[in-house]
Amino acid sequence: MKKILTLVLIALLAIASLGVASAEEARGEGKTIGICLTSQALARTVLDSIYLTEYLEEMGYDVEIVYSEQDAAVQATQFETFVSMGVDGIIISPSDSTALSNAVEVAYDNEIPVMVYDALIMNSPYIEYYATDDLYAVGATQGGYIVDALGLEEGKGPFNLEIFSGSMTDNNATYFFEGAMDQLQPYIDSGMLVVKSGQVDRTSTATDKWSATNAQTRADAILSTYYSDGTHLDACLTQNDDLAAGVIAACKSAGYGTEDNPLPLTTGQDCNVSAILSIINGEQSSTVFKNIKELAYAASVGIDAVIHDEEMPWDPEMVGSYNNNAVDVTTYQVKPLLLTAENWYELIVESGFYDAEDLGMTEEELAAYAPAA
Amino acid sequence: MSKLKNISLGKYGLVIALILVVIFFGITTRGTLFNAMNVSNIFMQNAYLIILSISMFFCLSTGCVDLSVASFVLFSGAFFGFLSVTNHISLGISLLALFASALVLGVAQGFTIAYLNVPPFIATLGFELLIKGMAIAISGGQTLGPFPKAIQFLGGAFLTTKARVFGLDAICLAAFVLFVIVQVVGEIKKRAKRKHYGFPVASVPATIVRIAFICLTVGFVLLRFSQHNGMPFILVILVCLVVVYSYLSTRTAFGRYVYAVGASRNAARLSGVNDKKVIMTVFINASLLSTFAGLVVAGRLNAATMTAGVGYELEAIAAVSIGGGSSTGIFGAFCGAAIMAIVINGMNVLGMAADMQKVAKGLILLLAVLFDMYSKKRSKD
Amino acid sequence: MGNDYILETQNIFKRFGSVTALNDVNFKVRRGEIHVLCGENGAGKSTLMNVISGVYPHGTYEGKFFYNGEECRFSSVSDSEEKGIAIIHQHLALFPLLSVAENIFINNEFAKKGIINWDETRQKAQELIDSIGINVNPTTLVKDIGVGKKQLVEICKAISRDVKLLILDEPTAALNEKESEDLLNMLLDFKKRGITSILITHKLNEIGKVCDTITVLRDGSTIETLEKGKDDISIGHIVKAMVGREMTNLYPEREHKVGDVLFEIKDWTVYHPLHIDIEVLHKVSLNVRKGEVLGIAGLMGAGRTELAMSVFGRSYGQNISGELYLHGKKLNIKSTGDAIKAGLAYVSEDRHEYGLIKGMSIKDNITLASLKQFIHKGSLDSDREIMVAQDYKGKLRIKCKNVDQKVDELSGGNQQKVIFSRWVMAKPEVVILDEPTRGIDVGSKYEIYQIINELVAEGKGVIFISSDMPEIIGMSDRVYVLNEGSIIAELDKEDISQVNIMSAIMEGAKDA
Repeated sequence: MKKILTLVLIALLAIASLGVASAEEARGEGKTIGICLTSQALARTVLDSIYLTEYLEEMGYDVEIVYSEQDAAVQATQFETFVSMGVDGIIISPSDSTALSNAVEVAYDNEIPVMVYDALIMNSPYIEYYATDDLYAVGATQGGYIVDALGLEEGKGPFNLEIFSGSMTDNNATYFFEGAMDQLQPYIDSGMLVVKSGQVDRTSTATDKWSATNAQTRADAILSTYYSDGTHLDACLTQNDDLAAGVIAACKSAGYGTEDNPLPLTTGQDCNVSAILSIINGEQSSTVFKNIKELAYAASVGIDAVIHDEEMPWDPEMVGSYNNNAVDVTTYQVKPLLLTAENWYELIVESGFYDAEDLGMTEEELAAYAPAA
Repeated sequence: MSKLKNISLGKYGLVIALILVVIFFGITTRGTLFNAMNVSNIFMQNAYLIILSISMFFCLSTGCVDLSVASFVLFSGAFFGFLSVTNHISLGISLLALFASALVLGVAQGFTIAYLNVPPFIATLGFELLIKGMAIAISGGQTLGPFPKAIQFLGGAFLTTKARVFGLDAICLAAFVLFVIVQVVGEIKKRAKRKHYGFPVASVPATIVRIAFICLTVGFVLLRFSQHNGMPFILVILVCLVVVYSYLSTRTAFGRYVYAVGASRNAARLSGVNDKKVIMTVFINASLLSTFAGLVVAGRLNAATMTAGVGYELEAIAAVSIGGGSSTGIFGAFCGAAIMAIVINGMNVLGMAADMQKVAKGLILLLAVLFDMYSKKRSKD
Repeated sequence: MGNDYILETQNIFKRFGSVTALNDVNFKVRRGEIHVLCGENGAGKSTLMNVISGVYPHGTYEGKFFYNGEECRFSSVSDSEEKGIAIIHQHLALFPLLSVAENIFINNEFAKKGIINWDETRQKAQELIDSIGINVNPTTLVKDIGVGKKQLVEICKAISRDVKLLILDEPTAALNEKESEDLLNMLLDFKKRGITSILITHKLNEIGKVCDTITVLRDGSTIETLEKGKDDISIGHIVKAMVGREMTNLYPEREHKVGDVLFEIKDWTVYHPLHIDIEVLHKVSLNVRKGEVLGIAGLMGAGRTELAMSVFGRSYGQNISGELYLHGKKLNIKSTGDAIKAGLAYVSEDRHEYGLIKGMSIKDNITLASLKQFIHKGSLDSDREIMVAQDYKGKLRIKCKNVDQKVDELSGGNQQKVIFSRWVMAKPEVVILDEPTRGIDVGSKYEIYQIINELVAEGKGVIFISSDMPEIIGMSDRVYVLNEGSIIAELDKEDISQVNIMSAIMEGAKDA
């Protein structure tokens, strides 16, 4: 049902934007943008495609989206197909950061502008522009939350911490980890944060496929090995919402979640509906809000500017530079925001990110959560 | 002693492998493997594997492999989540709709294999993709949660009255007593009957050792449950499933037909067995059981994720193969699942990284199967 | 020929656990002769041949044997093949999905640097095929040719390796009269080419023609060696040596009490399951009476098995038309289950593929077609199953440890008895037997004939398909002759003879 409504909505938007576009200068009239995304199964990707389409079609462009389902070879073929079709611009979210250097060179030779999206293409001097969430900042936000919530800066402690990082095959996970650990490591070194399991590095804390069940199983094992003597687990660095869900389920199974034995602090990423509900219920402590709308908008206006050979309209405050081992790439970094029980309504509902139906509530129920003005 | 070897080294080989695995992980985890919470975890984490092993046992017994179980697990959580969590449909109706769809898919798959003669490998692969796609489309790729209390109970709750007898949980103690009685009485009856017909029986000391060993193991496990939170609810259901399906495979005509179709399909057909109906039934059963397993997994996690079920079909096939297939029956499949469960749990307790776990899993499977084949070959000579 | 022995064994012992399969066997074969090896099932004939051909490698048996004067210590079959010994087993070692040419030259390909020359392979294969006189295309897949031709392909394989000692284990078991004769003539031909043959066979009537020497084995020991021209090689003498006692009649006596028509097949037409336009059976009409053994004779490929299987629950063929009547009532049979319920039973000619359930016990095999009789409150009454199975074990004299034993471990004759038990238990009215004594020793054959007699004495009708002419003549009350899918003759008791049957086939072939 939701899918159909979404499609209808997009169709209406498209028609509307066509109307708008014809009223103004149709910048993208007659032009096509090819978009290469990764896995259609991820909720995140669905949102990427919705917003990119919305903004580009508003400008009058025709949009073609393909999905690689995490297969690098397939993505290279899809990219090359766009080039040979002669599209006017390509937005690409690479599933494998190192496998596209050849393809990108061909695009460059054919003078087709490329906007790299979400993950960086490595080792190629042929890319110029990159739009991403500030990955390091995502991790830092998570680590920082734990520091603040536990009061470590004021010298409180020691507290028990366990770490659950992302999939080893995900390049972004490295940045998340780095960002978070830079916040937490000083306290681990000083002894104010204790990781009883001793699993502190990237490899031993990794969760295959970012899978919630894998996190749950590992948490079960850690709890029964190191915490069955009555010590309390105070905080978990869980680097996305699924990992948080798995760890919370394991903790509840081990008896956490009561007044005397509260759940450990948890972090997250992606703002899944189930995570928001979990935060509302007081189980998950926090997550990180990444404004996909902002990212898609930046990518869209960015590639539009390059196509028309104009100056980048990006807010200089948001612009930085990432080095991909060949060249420094001009990067738009969306700042991630910490989301907790205090500010979820503002970040999620007031921004229009989710509505009542998305959250599975009636309008009245949702309105009841609005903070007193 | 040689009589002992001749009679059932095949089955014993399996048990020996299980013991070795337990000892190995018991030592390397410095005993954590045996602590109360972990023992409960072993069962609850791997309940799905036992359910899927039963389903896979029947499929493999008819000579058909089923690669679609994982997708049913995924679909189960996703569809139920869509109905119950996203659209707030009542529990009863959600369950009804879920199992009804599973039934339809199972009938479609069974029909394709049994009546359209599409090789099971290809048919189940095709359905796997189809059902996975449906699951992702229905859930929009989202993690769905939280799940209703009843389903959470299914996956993660404990059955306990808080009453304690001799310092032990009442239900666990009662279960132990019941188990011992059933084992001893059952064994006595079985021996008497075999003797009456002149079939060979294992020597008395060997039987006593075997029964004692089984009872001690079960007793130990129940003790641990008692020390943690009591008997996991899902275990009760698993026991019921194992008993019912054991009965079905050994004491009903259908069970006999399943074996016949798998061993010699043509000969079975000429003996009047409706081989197509048997295969169709086996796949319908698979669809229902794996859907149930999906609910258990989602219930324990309290969420339906898009990575649910990944790799489950291979684990189930491995468990049944380690267990010795149709010659050792459901009990064999259960042992195979137990070996795998302990291996997986042990590796997690040891904190092994995910990639190393994969390597180790593969090696252990190969070793267990080789050992089982070896011990079966020896018992034949 | 003199005393030039190509093969000589000395004091061979082979044991399997506590069972002694070969007990001090001393066996000699003269160069260039055709030496027949007889014995009941379990006498050790195949075991002895397996020792000689390297299937049981050196070290797994005691004693020695010499080939061309040289002591042999084979570690595998390839070793014996290299020396020029080829063994053609009863269960053929061909690859069904490969072609005739590929099979002939398997492991012996015309290859240069790993690349096979298929043209040469095909050509050479054709030469061999022609030299043996088979009518087959070298590119045909083995699974698509009949058993008789498969046998000949195996022989081509042996010839291609320049065989000097050819061992054939029951080569004519699956062949009919004419094909058997052709094969035996071929052996005589080989003799002229200097190839020595050892022939294991149960068809005692054939050996007189070709053998030079006969060795009889019984219970793993060499009992007698008879030389043609010197010793008495009559069937009676041989059987006595094989069995250890006098056997007067090969076929048990029976009082012929034939009643009314019991089962009737009318205008039965069947098309090939894979080729819709090929008609395999054309308007076949026949009937069986109560208490009658109805023989169905014909050449291999005439369609007898196809007739039986298509009648029994449409287990063969497509686009089937015609009618079946039992006691005058029309039958509606669409599956084997229907057929059994209607009162039909079918014992297949291929008990390994269509008869036995491998890996299952004797008891379970016996009760399989009648499980409904054992259902008590939803579950199987295993006690009754055991009792009934033991009952049949006794009645049919099935030699086994107990009914829990797996059928795979039994000898051919006993396996066939298990299958008979299965069908007798289903209480049929009409029993169709397809080559029921193929590959079975003399003693067991007799027992099966007795079982058939008991069946007809109860008023049942037995349809008896066989390629063994003496058997058909000895057992049938009436015979239909089937040729190329049509009934071409019906012979009453007085007219049943080898001559009449063969001439009917010849006539039929002429008209076709």
